[in-house]
Amino acid sequence: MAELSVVLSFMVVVLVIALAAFAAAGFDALLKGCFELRRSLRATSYDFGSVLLKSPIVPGVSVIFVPPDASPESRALVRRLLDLHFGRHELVLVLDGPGQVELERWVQEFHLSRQERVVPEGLPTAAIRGCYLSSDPIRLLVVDKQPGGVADALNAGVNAAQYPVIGLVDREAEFIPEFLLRLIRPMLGDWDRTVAVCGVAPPPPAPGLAGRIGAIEWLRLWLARCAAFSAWNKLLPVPGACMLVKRDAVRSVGGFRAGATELFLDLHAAGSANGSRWRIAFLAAPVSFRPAAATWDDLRRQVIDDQQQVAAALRQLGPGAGREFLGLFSIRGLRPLLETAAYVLAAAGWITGLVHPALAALVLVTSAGAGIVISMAAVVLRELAAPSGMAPAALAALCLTAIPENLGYRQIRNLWLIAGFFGVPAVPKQNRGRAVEDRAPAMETRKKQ
Amino acid sequence: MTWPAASLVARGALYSAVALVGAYILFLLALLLVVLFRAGSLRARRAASAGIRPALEAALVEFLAGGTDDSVFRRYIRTHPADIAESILLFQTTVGGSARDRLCGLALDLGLVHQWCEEGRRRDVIRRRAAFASLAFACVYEPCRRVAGDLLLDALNDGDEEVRLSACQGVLLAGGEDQIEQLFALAIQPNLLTRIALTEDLRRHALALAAGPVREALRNGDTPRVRATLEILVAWERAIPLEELREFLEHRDRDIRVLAFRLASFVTVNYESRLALVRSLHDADAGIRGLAIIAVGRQKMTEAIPELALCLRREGLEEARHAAAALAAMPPQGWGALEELSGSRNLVTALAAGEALARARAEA
Repeated sequence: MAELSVVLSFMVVVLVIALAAFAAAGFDALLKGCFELRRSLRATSYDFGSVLLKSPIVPGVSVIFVPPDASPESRALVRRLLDLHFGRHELVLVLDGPGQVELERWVQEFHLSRQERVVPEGLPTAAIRGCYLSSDPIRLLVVDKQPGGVADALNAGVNAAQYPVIGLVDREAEFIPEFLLRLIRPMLGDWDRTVAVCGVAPPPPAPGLAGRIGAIEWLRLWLARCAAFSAWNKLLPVPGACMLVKRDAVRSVGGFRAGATELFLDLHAAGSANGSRWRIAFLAAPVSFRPAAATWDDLRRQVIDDQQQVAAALRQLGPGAGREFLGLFSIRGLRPLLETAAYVLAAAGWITGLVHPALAALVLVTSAGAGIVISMAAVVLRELAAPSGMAPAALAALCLTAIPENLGYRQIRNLWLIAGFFGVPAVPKQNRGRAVEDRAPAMETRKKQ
Repeated sequence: MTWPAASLVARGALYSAVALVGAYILFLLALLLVVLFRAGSLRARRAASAGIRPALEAALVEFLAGGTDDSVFRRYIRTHPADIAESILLFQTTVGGSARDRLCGLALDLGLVHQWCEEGRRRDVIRRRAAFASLAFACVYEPCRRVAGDLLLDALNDGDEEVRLSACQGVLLAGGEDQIEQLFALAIQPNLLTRIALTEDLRRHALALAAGPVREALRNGDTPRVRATLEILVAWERAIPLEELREFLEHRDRDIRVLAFRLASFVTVNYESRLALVRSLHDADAGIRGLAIIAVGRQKMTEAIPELALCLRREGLEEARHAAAALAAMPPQGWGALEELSGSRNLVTALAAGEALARARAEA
């Protein structure tokens, strides 16, 4: 019994040390993010929007969008993408193996007519069935292709794009029509080094406890995974972000192998591997955001979606790039697991008397206590770096939400994170990085055909 | 370690952790108070601004329409100088001529120009940027220029990019002919944003620049500078006399070639350059061939009609369409060639020629 007590206590001690290390790393990331946010906001005062809108020197942007279907929501999103304000831009709408009815719906919606066009074959993709242009005065190119998955469709979009910069929009993003003008600016400031720009800001908090907890989650994400990662030149897109990427850079890494997160990981890996000084810039401006979670269901869905996206991307990393993102893997993959294990062991040990009550309490302090500190810090540091304009009462309420967030929600969220990380479906492997003659689709698709 | 000792250590660790977390929370609560106070004052300031801005803007409209009543501005100048300055700057792009002078004169009378000059000497980069953005506008008016003295010129070498850009724009708006060359040199530096911001303002000096600095930059041989110069020339879209375009039409750097072909669409080209354009219709690079077709069409080079007809026969659909459009721009010989080619067995050729001919006839 004594031996079991020692083993159990030792395990709890190790877990407590690990949790303390995670908490310290989290706090460090928040601080780093706060300073980076302050620096980046002070770095520019004017967006030069009207100058950039008129200048023919500004590189053109091809926004690529792959709609999941031809639903009214998808068509509405395409309409919004067509309303973007920019000097030279086009929307490349890639339809990934649509049925006849679906294609007809797109044709009718945008008055499309088929146009003979040779799409360059820079990246291997499934065969292009046809290209369509609109008879309306809109800059829209529709590419109809054989089914091959989202990555394959994105690669077809890159091939069809006529401009040197590719624009990408997260499906859940709420964006302003001027986002291209705002995002291109960091690229223009350092054209040779900047291969991509990612812009996102926290949404206005939704009412209610779930809304406030969602707002705190967003602040942590914005400060740590956006601003701090940008300072470390490891920026990855987060849900709700809008992005610009140089077309040549996309081609140089062999195109998309899944979504934008994987592309950014590949860009980081390629930048480190060839010793280039590639930089991915972060625009901490309200150009785009994911709508705030207003209910517990929204919150759960957002947490799990984000976790699955991160997990899918991190799992496919090679050893080199994997080392670079070890911190992200530890915080998103390991921490929830270790914390939940610590709760279980501490509770079991305390009930059976095998673990000293002080040690069990220490687990709560290093997880929930440190969590309260981190969440409060996220609210306060964001206000110090970039005042949100919220009313003082709302700010105080948001800050104090850190307490219920960490005493109940945090523990449930850990379970969501574990489910999200380990329940992620495998991503189909793409035949990328080399030119293929038969223009075959993704390997998984080929197997099905 | 014995159980009591372990218990002591555990308790000690717990108390330390609680103390540490507690200290952090207290510190964060103190910071929260600061943040709340700041948020409150920020909102109060915004509310106050929102309250007086409509009155200020209405008074400005009346003033610009010829009114002489500036009592509203004098009433608020001590309490809300920033709002008055912002209201004045709101009109900077919408007024010109004497109205603009009146606006700058008002800023001078209210002491805002002096204040901007002081702010322009500060170390705080945010204030300096705002000050120079305002001064750039005000210095169009000569009395304001006298107050600012050499401040704008000194700021051309400022460490901050936005301050430099504002200073450049101020100097250009003030008509500083002596500094045009210096500003052009800044515009062809690697920073693309600077180039974009200055190109439009330098357009009115295009002819003067083309005679000297542009020619020097093109002859310089430094590829990035040549590329930047050509970018500016293309952006100006002015028929500037360029002696030696041929060198760039056949340059080893593809970007330079692309820019030279785009430039060849609207500048006067000499015999050598015309020959180079015709030669480029057979270039190995499809993109260059496409640009050459467009340039030949814009220049209406009838001597290239056989080569254009060849392009129409052998190129892909997009280039064939360009070649057909170029032929359509050169009646009657071009139309004759199109009529002949619209009956071609090659579907692409026939389609492109037929489309272009129909369009040209409809427009004629």
